[in-house]
Amino acid sequence: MSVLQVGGYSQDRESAERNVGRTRSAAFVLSKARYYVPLMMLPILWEFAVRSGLVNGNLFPPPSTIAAAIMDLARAGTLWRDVSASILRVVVGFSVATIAGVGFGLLLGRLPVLSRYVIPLIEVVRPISVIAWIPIAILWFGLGDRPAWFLISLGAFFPIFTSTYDGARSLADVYVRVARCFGAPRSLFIRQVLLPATLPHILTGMRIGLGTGWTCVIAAELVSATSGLGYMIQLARTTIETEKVLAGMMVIGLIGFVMNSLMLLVERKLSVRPAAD
Amino acid sequence: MKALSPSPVDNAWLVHCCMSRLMFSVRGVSKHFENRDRKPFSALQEIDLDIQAGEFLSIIGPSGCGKTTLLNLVAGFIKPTTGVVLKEGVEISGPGPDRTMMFQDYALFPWLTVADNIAFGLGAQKLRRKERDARVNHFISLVGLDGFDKAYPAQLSGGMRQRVSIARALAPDPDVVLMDEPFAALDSLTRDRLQEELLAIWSRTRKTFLLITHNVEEAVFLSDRVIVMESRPGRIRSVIDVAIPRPRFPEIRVRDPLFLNLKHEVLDLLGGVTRAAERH
Ligand SMILES: Nc1ncnc2c1ncn2[C@@H]1O[C@H](COP(=O)(O)OP(=O)(O)OP(=O)(O)O)[C@@H](O)[C@H]1O
Ligand SMILES: [Mg+2]
Repeated sequence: MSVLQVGGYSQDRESAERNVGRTRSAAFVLSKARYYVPLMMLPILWEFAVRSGLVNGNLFPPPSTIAAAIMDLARAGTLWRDVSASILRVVVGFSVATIAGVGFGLLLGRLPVLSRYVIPLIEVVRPISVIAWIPIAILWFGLGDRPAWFLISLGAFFPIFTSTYDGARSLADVYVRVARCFGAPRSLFIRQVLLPATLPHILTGMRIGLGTGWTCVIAAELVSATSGLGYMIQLARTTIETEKVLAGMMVIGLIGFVMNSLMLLVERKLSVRPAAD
Repeated sequence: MKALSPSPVDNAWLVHCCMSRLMFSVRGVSKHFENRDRKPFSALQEIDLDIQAGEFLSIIGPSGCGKTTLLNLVAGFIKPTTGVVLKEGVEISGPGPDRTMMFQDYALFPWLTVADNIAFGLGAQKLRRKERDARVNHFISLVGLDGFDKAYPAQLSGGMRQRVSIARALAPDPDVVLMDEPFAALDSLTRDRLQEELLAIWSRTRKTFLLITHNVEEAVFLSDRVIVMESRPGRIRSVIDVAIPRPRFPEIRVRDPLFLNLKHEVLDLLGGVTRAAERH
């Protein structure tokens, strides 16, 4: 309706209604597009800066060179190998982290007696950056997938655990009373009360955890792997192929962005309930 | 066998048993809480109360006189500081689906449909899916929510949510239904409607209904007895027998002199109690 008013012309009602959906979605896309203008400007300015000689193109290869490098890597097939190696590691590590984080989060969130003993332990381990775990991970697991799995699980565990724990702990008392009043068995309580009530917290934790996991896999591959995007940029550094290093970084950024968007989508789909009063 | 050839003794026993079977007995119950400065504070003091099976009992009293506390004791959520609460002669050790509750503000699960919310009340029973669905449908119809089984609580009006809450409380076939100001948040038309329906459900099921309310008319219209409480400390001020014959029709609210008399009696008692509380 507002579209028509803004347009300032009259149309018969039927065709107007047919058009509203399309007009609105086009306007919607357009209004979103402007948020990507700075992102688009950066490569243009960069390209311009290099071509005009303001910036050293060997240290800052321009976007066109980086794009060409990505194309080369893709054509040679190594890009897919590295991307899938990294993603596969994240899938494994993230799954372990999700199971452990959600499990322990729910358990400790509902058992204050236990959590009083365990939380201090977790809070001391948590500030140790995943980077600091790399040496011990190599000592324990050698090189390859296993140290990466370990580091990713570790990195993704904390956000998932913390968010789930907070959610489980803040479960409204009245829901617990309802469950007790009707004598709900533990499995029913977990399935129909605890999990759904905590789900939004779990999903947020998973989204942040996946992001952390993605940064962890790259860190792990820099030193303790012989495949993956992290390994690839490390290798390109030793051969001083700066455009390959940046190409790898771009791919890392893009994949991370896509992962986060997918998780946001899942979060929105699953957390949506009929609007509360 | 004995019922076929009743001796006078058996008959008397039967009459005693069926007419006035004791459901609850509250004996010398006090409940102390610690208030903010950790001083013990007496929410209930020396409560003695018998509740018969099948009785509709209302508790009315000023805010803070311990009504909810008393209901929580009967539900088994809390334990008395002194005294005992017995159900059918056995001390209550915790909550259970034999005493279900209609909570203040409904307390439905927003992520479950109407049908699943009601089915949650059956959680403690091992039922086959078909059997459970049949039970759920029966109670959806009972409270007049046909066609809303797949709706979520947020899509329902306050009155409809309270109906779901009634259905959930009735579904496990409890001995007792406990209600904490179930209709307080509803408009007066909806409230009257639900009171009448609650009364119909009660007379059909003959369960023990224990109702907390602030509404004198509601208490008198529904109950066999009205307990008037006073506060600081929470005590029973008096017990009013409501001898209005049943079935009770909505008209008695405005027409029946006995109803109006009782209503004023309770109002007077409550007025005195409230004034006393204010003087404190
Ligand atoms: N868990 C608790 N800890 C401390 N004090 C409590 C607790 N529960 C209740 N009280 C106190 O006990 C008194 C009685 O409370 P209760 O909730 O039973 O009153 P009520 O009659 O239901 O009041 P209302 O009509 O406002 O619902 C109040 O003064 C309240 O502050
Ligand atoms: Mg109360």
